Amino acid sequence: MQAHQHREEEEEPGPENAFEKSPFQLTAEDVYDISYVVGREILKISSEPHQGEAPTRVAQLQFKIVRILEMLEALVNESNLTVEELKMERDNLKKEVEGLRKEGPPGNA
Amino acid sequence: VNIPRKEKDFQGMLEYKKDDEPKLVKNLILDLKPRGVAVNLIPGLPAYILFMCVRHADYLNDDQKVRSLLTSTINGIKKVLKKRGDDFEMVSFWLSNTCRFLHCLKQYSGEEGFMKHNTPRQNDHCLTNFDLAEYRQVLSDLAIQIYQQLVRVLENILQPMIVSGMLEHETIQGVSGVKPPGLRKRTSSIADEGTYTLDSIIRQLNTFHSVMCQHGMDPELIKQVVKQTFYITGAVTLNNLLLRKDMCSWSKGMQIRYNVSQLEEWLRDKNLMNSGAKETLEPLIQAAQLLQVKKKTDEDAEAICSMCNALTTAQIVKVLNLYTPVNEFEERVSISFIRTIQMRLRDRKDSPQLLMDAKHIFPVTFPFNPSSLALETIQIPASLGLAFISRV
Repeated sequence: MQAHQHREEEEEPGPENAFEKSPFQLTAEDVYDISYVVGREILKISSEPHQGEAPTRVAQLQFKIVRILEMLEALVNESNLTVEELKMERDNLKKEVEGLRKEGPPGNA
Repeated sequence: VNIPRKEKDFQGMLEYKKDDEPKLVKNLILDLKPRGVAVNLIPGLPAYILFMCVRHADYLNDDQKVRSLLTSTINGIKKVLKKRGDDFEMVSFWLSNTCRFLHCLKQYSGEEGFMKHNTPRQNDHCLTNFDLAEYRQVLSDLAIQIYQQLVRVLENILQPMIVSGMLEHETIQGVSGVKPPGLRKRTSSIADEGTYTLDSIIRQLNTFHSVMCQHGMDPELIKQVVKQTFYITGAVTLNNLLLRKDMCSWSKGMQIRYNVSQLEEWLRDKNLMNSGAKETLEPLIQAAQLLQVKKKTDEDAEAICSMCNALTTAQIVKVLNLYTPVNEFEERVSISFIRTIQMRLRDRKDSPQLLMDAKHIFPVTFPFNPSSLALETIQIPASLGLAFISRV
């Protein structure tokens, strides 16, 4: 039973797992998971009984966090795209090099 | 550069120009992704934004604008679900948001019955000019329709997993090592790769559940979805049991009980034991017990009759008829034993039904679920592309 559940956790990472990733491995999906987890925490705070200004300030903070995560999402997407582009470029260059090698060095023909 | 300005006191309304209504519907409904930073951080955000737009139109006493917005909203949701209606995530998203919109229209209707949990500030936000009770009815009908669509999508995903995962795949080793003689082995070891197991089903349930939670779906509604899911699983499994000879053996009974206990464990894990989901498995549980109990003496017959109160006589008799002894220590069920059972159950007024209706959908309800969210604190995240509407 214990083993079974353990295995499941490994196969089925919850949204919290996004926090454990390396920033450079992050995907937009991870950013959405982070949003959900942070959102849930904020909801917990704002549904506690409060006095005075606290709810307004929590809400202000909440929308600043939305903005930060929007930025993170954009950065993650952008960097993934850049990596993708660089990889394609590299592969193209490799192919070119191989092609040229097959033709043999100039003058040897 | 945005020069930060002292926050002014907002009233929790949103204003847009009438000409921008199509753009509003397009960005907030038609093109909105069910997964994104803003909607994940604030579940139900599209519904709150729509309601705040309704509030401003109500404040302007502009009945034409209110009517137009509500009609476009409803049509927009229908359009999305027509286009992406086979996508569980999309359907779950719009079921959650349609319900939230409906809850907002109630919470801020100004009707006392819906104001009990409101803060004084929330009470100030009630609609003042229009009674939208008729639109609430339309939205509630729409929510029912979306719910049925959700069940259909979920069923289509689950259907191919059930027989394989609940009946064919063997999770307990050694029990069914002895195959009933003369029966062909359905699950060959080669087919094992790529076939569904109980784990596949549990994983699918986890996915469904986590998507609905992320959409902020009402807990009461999640319970109903889970109950419906368990019903489908139980009904499809039982129907196959009643149709296949190779499924009626002592070891299959063992297998089914183990699988059911795993499903129960899942419910306990997710705190859904009071959802009524477990109860929908009762006919299957009893059929599995029937496969395991002794089937010889009069006392055995009596025990079966009092145990199987969730199975029809037709189903009990069918299982007994199909029952196939697993080894030489067991015997076939005798014809006289089946007769005894039939005699005992003669006075029971039950339906002649053999197969369960696996397409049956329990009627859904949407209990009022007010929110503590303060409308005046809501801002419009940039990623929604709604810069043309302004806070009031």
